[in-house]
Amino acid sequence: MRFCTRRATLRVHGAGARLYRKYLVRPRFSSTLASESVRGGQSGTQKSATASSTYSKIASSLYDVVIVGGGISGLSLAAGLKSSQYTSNLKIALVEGMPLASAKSWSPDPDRYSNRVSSITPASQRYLSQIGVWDHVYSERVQPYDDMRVWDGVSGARIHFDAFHLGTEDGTIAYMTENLNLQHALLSHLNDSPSDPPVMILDNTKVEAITKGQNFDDLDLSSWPALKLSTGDTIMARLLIGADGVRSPVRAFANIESRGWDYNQHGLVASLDMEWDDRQRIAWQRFLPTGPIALLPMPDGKASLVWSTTPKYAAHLKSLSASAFCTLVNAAFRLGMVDLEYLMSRVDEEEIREDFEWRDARLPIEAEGQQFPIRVVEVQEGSRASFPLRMRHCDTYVAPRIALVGDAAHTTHPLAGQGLNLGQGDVASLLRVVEKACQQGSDIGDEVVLQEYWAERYPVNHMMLGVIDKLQKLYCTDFPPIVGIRTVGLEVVESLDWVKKMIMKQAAGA
Amino acid sequence: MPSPRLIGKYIELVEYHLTTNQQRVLRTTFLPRPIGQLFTRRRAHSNASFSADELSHFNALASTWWDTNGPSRLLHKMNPLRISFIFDTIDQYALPALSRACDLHMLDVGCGGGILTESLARNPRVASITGIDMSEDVLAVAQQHKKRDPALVSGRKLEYSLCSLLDLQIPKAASEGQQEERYDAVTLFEVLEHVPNPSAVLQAATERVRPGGWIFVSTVNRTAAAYLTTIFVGEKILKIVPEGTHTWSKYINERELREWFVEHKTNVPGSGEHWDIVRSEGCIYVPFVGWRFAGPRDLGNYFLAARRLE
Repeated sequence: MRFCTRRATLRVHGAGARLYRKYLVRPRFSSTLASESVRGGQSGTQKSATASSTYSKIASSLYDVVIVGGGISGLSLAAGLKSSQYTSNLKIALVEGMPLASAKSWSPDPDRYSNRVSSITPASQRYLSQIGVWDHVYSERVQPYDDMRVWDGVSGARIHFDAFHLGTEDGTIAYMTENLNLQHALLSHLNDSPSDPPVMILDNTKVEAITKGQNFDDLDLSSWPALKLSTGDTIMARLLIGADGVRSPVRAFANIESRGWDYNQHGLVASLDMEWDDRQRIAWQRFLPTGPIALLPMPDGKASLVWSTTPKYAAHLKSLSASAFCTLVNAAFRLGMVDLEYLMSRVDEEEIREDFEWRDARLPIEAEGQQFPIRVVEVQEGSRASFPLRMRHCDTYVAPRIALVGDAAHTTHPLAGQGLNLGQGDVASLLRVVEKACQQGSDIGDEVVLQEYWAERYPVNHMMLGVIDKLQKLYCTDFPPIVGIRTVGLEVVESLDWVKKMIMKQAAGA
Repeated sequence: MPSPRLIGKYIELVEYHLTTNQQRVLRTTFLPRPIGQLFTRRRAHSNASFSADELSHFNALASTWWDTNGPSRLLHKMNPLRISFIFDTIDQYALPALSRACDLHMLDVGCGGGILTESLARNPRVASITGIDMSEDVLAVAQQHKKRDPALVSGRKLEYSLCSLLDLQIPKAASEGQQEERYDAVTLFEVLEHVPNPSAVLQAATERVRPGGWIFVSTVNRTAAAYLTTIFVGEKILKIVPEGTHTWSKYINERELREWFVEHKTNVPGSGEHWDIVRSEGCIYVPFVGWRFAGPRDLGNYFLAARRLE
């Protein structure tokens, strides 16, 4: 083919080029550790070097990615890596200390809901459907909600987020679902989708120690993390992912500092039954000076409670009988602060019930279901539990051959329902970074490659953590000037639809 | 001090002699006339191999080559841009009849510590990659670093060689009628501005590429802006590039490189070679963000892709 001018360039476009590109056989990134799948010996380029003898001895203990932690973040990352065409050939191992068999074979009881529930934002839900996990979720146990009513317990100032009237894209603010539902879906997806090689799920296996690998003569693995497992095996990772929760051993190994503080609050969770199912799909949150109380809708007229309160109150609430507990939950949504404080200090359950009924009779009947939730009548047995609340954020999410996702990197107050969703955002971002590295041929454990993930997620997480922390500080007081300022602020925001739209967009994880 | 007229005559004489001997093309083919006169005498007898001060500069950098937070950090950050440049160009501009898009046999000239070379060795579309460099210490670092990745050790795609491109043998054809073994792509990233005879190096590169194959070059324009950014700000002020890495007089303008390919096309007698410049992009380094394709191609750093037509 001759081309007349030096400026002429042949652009391969048009139908012919599209065909050419379509039928190009694109090799997928074969497992970095499989020497058989690499085509090397073309004529003239046959290399005379033989495969390292050390390598052939230890090849079975080398993994491309080792994920420590079988929670939602860890499983989600494994599922994402397996779903992507560029990373599906990586050799992945997932190490989890607890047995996962019960989650895998979970068959839910329609009358009982677990107390560990999460609010899944539309962004997280999109990511989960993209990797094919959302199809495995029991949809009858997922409750989408499109209305959120938040108000100040001290001044009564209200803010109302209505997805329908604000005209947001999805029409849903978030999806409530049990963590077990998600875990089960993730494990089913990993089990069902065929992939070569499959993800090695090493459950019921603890990581006893993490050290640096060895430097053999012909193979230098001193930069590779080596994990000694409770089964006695040692595995080495090109990239070690810490998805192992707040007290992350991987983070300790990487010498990454985690900074923050403890709130003097415990988060009390419970599974509740409402008096009747008004099918309104509203999430309720009231800010009390001791901490916010939130009631989140679940299917079939049930609800999930997340009540952040002082450790003393949390212990007291756990010790009460079921009916007294329900009375106090109702009281926390309806009564003024003085009355509520009085009720919380009572120990005689009959007295509590009578006092509450008397006060409740004075509230307007139409307010129920509009200004405060329908009555709670039952709490599921054994579902009351509490955990201490804290805010933590790591300096950095990455180190050479190490990356942290989820709670290992950051922890936050549950008042905005963002904890799990920030983790899913981390997972999606890390997945993109690993995909790009595999496509290009970069080492996935290279710090320069991983830093892109940290640079993308750190500012977003930092901002969200900061806002949630300031909200908590702003609302956990009844000091009158602050109450006045926050009341005015809230009422201004309530009247500005565009501000509410912006807030919802941020919270939805756009 | 000879008069300007005499100096001009001297240049013409030297050029006349050299056109008959392609191996020692003078630097003046790249420099504009006035500056060419300034450098003629010094460059007239330079040999084709790497100069001593460049060698010693890179040898000193050898130990920190793979420190991603060290002096070579900018090189590490440039790697993804280089790889996407190579494969995006091949995808968009490949000639289906002549070239391969996968199973590429590549040569990386001036591979240094092997940052690009290792990535290419791991890339699924590359069948083999040879990295050559003239700096012994740096190549030793590359060999050591190769041992740190089991995929590279067991994959057998990556080979290093301590030699210059001019000395690299072209394997002879196995039998009559069969084509000589040439590379699908030769990369010369950040090389031409460090060798005394870029013309000879480019010539040698063109001889080692098969029809439909590629030459990928990246270098810096010889402009005031480039001096300001790469040397003044980069080396002296921010110190993100090791001092002494770049010499402004050795930079090559994008237009000069294009003209070289045109002249090469017409000067090679009877070979029927035709080279097309298919893509040329300017790139800039944005601190805290990284390298991006942006800016005019005749101002600062640039990438250029040339394709052999037959």
